[in-house]
Amino acid sequence: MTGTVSKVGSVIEPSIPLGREPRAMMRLLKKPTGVVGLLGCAVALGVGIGAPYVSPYKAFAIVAPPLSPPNSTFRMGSDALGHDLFSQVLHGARSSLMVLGIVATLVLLIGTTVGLLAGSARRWIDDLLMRVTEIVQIVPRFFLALVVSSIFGAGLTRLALLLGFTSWPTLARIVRAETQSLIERDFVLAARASGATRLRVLRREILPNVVPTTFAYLGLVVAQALLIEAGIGFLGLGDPNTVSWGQLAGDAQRYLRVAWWLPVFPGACIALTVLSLNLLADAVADIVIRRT
Amino acid sequence: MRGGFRYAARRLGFAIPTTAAVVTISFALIHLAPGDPAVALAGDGGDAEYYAVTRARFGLDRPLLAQYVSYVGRLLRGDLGTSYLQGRPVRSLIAERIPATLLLTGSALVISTIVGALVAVYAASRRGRLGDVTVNTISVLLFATPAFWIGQIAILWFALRFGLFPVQGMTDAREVRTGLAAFLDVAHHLVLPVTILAAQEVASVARLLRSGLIDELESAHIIMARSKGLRERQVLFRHALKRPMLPVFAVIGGRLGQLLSGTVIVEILFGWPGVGRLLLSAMQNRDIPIVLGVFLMISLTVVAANLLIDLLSMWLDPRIGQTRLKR
Repeated sequence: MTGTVSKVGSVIEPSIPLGREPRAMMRLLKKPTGVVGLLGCAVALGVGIGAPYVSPYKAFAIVAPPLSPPNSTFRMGSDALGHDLFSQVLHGARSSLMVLGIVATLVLLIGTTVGLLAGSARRWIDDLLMRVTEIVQIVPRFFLALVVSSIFGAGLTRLALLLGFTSWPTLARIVRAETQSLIERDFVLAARASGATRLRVLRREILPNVVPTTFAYLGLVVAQALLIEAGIGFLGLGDPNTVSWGQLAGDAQRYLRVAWWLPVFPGACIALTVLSLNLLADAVADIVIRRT
Repeated sequence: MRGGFRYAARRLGFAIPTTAAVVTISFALIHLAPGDPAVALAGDGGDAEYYAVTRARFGLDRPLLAQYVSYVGRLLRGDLGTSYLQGRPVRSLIAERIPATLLLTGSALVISTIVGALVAVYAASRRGRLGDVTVNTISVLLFATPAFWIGQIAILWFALRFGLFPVQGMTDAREVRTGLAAFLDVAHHLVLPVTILAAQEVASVARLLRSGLIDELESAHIIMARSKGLRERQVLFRHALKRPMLPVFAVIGGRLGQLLSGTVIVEILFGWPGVGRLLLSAMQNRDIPIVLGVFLMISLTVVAANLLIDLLSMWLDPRIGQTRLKR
């Protein structure tokens, strides 16, 4: 897929590097932010997948004396019901991962499609799509999520879907702008001149060149969605059948005076995950978007 | 200026479908809710007769389109429905909470703009040096941290450990104060919540402004100002800050949405008697009219703020209407 693009592109416009960066990974690892971001995301992913195997106890198992401070057995202490906070925090990563996965998939699909269409279609379609994008962008997502969770009841999947269906506008705008600039390039003209259909041009010439940029912004968008999910959980509107960091932080609110460990650890996990995502996105952006 | 008028008309034309979309969403939510919309609107504690009255009042037995029309009609008259738990109009329930929220959000908006500008000037004038790097690092950290966590840590340290600030509420419940004492009491209660609410906004304002300032500092009129022998402070604040401030105002609409979300969290954290607390208790009791009322109010505030800012920035920068039209 990229082969065609690079070939055509390099023949006509050798000065503009196109296609996937062959050593993107190496360049990412040369940046401190890239290393930290990648490492943080890898840890979150590993903990999320491995939680049932590495966690000392089950998430809802009552194993500890209530409200015991961190010690050698219960590394992050325990809550008022005697749950081991460390095990709960490990399991909480799964909720974040699920939100992350669903939101990222939906945002990529919708954002890229809308952006490609708007950037390449006729003026009125572009106008229409951009109007819709602006409307979706303006509706306060946090409040919409609150309303939906309180009317339809709490549910992690529902929340993730809602965030996915409302978080795509930023990405759509960026893809649109990229498409508009790419579509004028010689290699696209060449493809069209050689008889490629509109769809083929979009799929094989434009899309591969847009993908790296989308990934740079995807990290930021997903990080925002994670913060919203945490906020909803904090307000006690999270899914009661799963553990999430936001919920743990919200439950801690009643015990602030007696148990400092309850608010400190879950919040730190959210901050570290979001930070890693932001750093990674930033490092990717530095590589794929040529900043002048 | 014709382009300007057309641009204004375009923005106005945009606010209308957005408003319609928000209204339609809230209407749809009532009807998509699981179970009987009468129960959603009137709570699940009522008897059959009560639901019949509710059905008749909201016309729930009529076709959907007719219901939609009358829903919009009620909203236009400012009728947001009645809270079934408190038996009072949602509009007045929200209205009496607005001053507290406005105090919190408004202070945070003003403070974050001013402090953000100061921080940006500081960072931009020390570009690449320690001060700049520190500001950058702190704002990256603030961006990643959920507001409630900053709040919890602040309560643990400043309120519980050192006892510097009150933990809860807007006023001291132990004694009734008047005049200056009352003002100082509220201000004392306001410090922590506003700081936490403003912190992330300071970071985003500073970030936005810093890059604009750095570009601006290299432009010809700044070199001119410097070569005239103006003091650096004058160069920075009187000459360089003006233009990069525009985008900061331009995103106030978006910032307002962000700030209001933060306000809910901060109000819950500190027991601040504003709209956020009303919203949370309504959600816990499934008092749907209040929940939807707050959603509508906040969304429409954001839409209105965006429109206002669009028009205002066109007035501040006449080029805006012109360039957008050309495309």
